[in-house]
Amino acid sequence: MEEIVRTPVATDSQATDSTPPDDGSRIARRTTDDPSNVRDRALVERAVAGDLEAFNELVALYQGYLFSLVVRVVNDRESAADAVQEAFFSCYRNLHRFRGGSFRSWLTRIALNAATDILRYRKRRPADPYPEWEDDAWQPPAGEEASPEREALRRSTASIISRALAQITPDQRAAIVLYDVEGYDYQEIADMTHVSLGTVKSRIHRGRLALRDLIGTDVELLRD
Amino acid sequence: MHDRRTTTEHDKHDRVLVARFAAGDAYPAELVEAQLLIDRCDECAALASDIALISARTSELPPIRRPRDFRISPEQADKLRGSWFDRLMRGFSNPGWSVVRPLAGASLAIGLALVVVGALPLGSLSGGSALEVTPGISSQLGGVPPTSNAFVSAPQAPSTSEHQLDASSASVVPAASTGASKAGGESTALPGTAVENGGSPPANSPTTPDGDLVASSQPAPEFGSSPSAVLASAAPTPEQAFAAPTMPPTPAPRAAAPVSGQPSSPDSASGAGPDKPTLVVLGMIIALLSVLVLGLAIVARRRYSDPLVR
Repeated sequence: MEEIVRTPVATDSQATDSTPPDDGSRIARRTTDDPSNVRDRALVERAVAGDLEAFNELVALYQGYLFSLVVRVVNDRESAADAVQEAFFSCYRNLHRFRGGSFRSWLTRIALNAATDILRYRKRRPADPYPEWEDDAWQPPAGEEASPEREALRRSTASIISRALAQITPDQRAAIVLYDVEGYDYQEIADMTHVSLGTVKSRIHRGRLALRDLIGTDVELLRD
Repeated sequence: MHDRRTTTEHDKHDRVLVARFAAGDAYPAELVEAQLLIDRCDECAALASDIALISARTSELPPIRRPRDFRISPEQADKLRGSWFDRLMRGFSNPGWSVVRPLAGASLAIGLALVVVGALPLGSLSGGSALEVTPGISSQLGGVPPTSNAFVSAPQAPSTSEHQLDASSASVVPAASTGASKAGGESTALPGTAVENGGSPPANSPTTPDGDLVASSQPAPEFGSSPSAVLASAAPTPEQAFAAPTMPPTPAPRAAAPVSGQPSSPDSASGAGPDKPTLVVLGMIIALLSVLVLGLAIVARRRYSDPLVR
């Protein structure tokens, strides 16, 4: 039995090494015997049996990825942290309901639901957001081969993209982050966000058009 | 640079189609149109290029450092696990239990219906109750006692009128049928209850070797006895009722003849179904259990289901 899963499995240990998948490797067919799935299932079984350390191993594997995803969706570090914590709490309470497959996708779905709740709450009670792009307190360490100029350019590019991402609709933002940043395919995103495949594609394409309009002339800064 | 005319034309172009084409998601039927747009419109070509660039740069966004460790402490784990009751209710809130609520609702309705049926003064719940109230119905139906067995075998038995028509051809008609026609004739001559006629036996009633009806050899019920008792005496046993009319007569049915005044079988017209108090109690038990399960399911869903795990 095969399922379509994304190729790169960015765990917390790999979080600083963000190598986005290209289109050719995005949709890769993997069996359910994928090593990461097998590892996750074993940890889940131990956690369901009451082994807290096993669950915390899962948390350690995915907390960086999950926070990075949620903070881009909600544009607020504190809210994102709360959402991720709540997602792990919910995951722990309902671990017995995990029915196999990709634990990462299941966890992502829970976190996206938590992020959606936050966005809904914020819509009811608007407050000053704390956009992620304003937080320059930390950036991934530069490689030895990276020049200061190149690093500055990379930061500038990330800032431009993040500012524009923060201004498109949450649905479009979530779809673009899941597709472009996290490397999920359309069907996985549809499953996670409980919408149809066509809706996912529409959100991504219209979101990109909106990004292009928002970035405007700065798009030239994105070119090497 | 584009002049005003070109810009106006670009505004009419399908930007989403260009975006789909840039992402490689255009449908085959759209490919030619999208390619034409990009080839002939510089704006569309720039749009496709920008979209591809933005998509590529978006995928290169650096990860964001998490502000804290999200691992769970043993105290938090204990609190999250909750008591045994919490775990039980969380189990009830699983989507797999969603079928419980409609089932509980249905069983609640059944329980209430049983209570109502048991409480209403509708007389006996057996099939013979209506005949007890209006005993004349039996004779109007051709004198066939209202036992289920008789009705089951009715299609095999010719009607009374058929017997009368075939009376002249007695050599062809079995003796039992002849006897039945006689009995039917008597019931027609004396319109009343089957009780008063001594009961019209079913057409397939067992006969003696001489062709006489077994029922006719039984002592006739006395006038004034209760209708149900008389009906019971007139009703054939299941063995009698299922005996085929063309079977050779055997003396065995005589030995199996019911004793007058006693029900011949639990399924006879006297009725042996559940009595009313039993129905009421049964209905109340079902209803109470249903309410309990329904309440548990609703509380579990409202208080213990996790909205994040949809």
